[in-house]
Amino acid sequence: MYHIRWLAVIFMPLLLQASKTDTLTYEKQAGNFSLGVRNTISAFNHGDLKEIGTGIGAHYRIQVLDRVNTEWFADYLPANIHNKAHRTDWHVGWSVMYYLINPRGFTRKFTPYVVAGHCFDFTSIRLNGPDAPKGKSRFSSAVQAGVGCHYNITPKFDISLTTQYMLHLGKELHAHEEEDGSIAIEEHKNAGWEGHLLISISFNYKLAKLWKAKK
Amino acid sequence: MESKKIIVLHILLLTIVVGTQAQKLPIWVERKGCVRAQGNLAGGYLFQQKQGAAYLTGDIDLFVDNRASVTGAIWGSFATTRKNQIGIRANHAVLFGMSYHFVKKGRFDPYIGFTPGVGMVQANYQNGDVISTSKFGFTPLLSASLGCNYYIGWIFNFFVKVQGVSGQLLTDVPKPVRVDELKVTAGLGWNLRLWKPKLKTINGQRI
Repeated sequence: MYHIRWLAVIFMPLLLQASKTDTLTYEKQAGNFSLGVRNTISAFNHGDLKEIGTGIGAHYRIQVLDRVNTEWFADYLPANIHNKAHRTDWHVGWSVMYYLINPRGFTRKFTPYVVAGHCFDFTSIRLNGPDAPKGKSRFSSAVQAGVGCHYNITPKFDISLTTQYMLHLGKELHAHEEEDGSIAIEEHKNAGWEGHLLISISFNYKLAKLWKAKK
Repeated sequence: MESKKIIVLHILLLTIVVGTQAQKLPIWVERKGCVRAQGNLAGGYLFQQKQGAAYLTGDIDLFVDNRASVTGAIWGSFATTRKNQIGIRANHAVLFGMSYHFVKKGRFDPYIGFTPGVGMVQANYQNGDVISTSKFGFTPLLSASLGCNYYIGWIFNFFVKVQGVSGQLLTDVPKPVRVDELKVTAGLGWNLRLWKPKLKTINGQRI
């Protein structure tokens, strides 16, 4: 509840601005095709702040309505585990973005949105070192949701910051440090849902108009 | 002999065509449709290792807009660490991203770039009593650059670029090896017009 209050405070000026009646008409945005590259910080893996990973990825966006955009992405995310092991996540998926305010042809500087989607992922955990035993891995599916904001440098060019929480569905795979300092890699069949907080920053450019929207 | 003449003739014709097009619409008037590239030697400083690095680098900017370019870069490192010394042996990288150019037109072209990429990193590490060399490992890189081009003519430019890169090698090394670095490159680059964009005019005035 406390967090919702803070979100309301953060987005209030934008929502108030959006409530003003639009007197100008803007070009319809459906059909926009944009390409983007991104860096993602994967924090809070299983609630452990020491397992922060940084990754790279790319996506393309196809906008279907003025306020609805879709994002199709691929990410590669390695993370350090207590300097003794490492985890690698591969994500391939899609998200739907809903703009909280009318983007007005992306002529506004800021366009906040909520985002939710699904992805397929591959995770592997392996101990560090040349003689380390073979690690464990698994394929699974995941769902993610969060909030984000475009900063529109020009109507065609934006920087986006997105924060999402991703829940891996299926078998749980994790590593933890034992009392003697060794790392144990454990796999639990349907033992629970695990996840991580993904913070992405991306640069995007609208390359083409795939179809012309009706006025 | 005959084929050599034909090749030389083709190159001359291409140069004249490109030159004529560029003179009509030089890069400092309209960047959209141009490509800017460079190949050079570069230096770097690795923060964790507290050591210098040397590279052969090349990058390319394709202007899809007067203020935006799609950019790619390759960095090939020279070994600056001896075989019996702990540290980074190789630090090659491929980076791809976008740049935002602050000034819409003009000979001065300052920009900021965001170019995530992948490093191919190899490191020497202490393995008991001996120093071992790791396998090459893929390393995701966070990277941002700040630079400026100065277009001196229809085909040449001077450039300077400072690039911050961050990442860590997590493969068969006992502890992660950070590759946080500041890279610097400067020199002479090339620019070329690939296509002539449609110009918007209002009442005969170009906008």
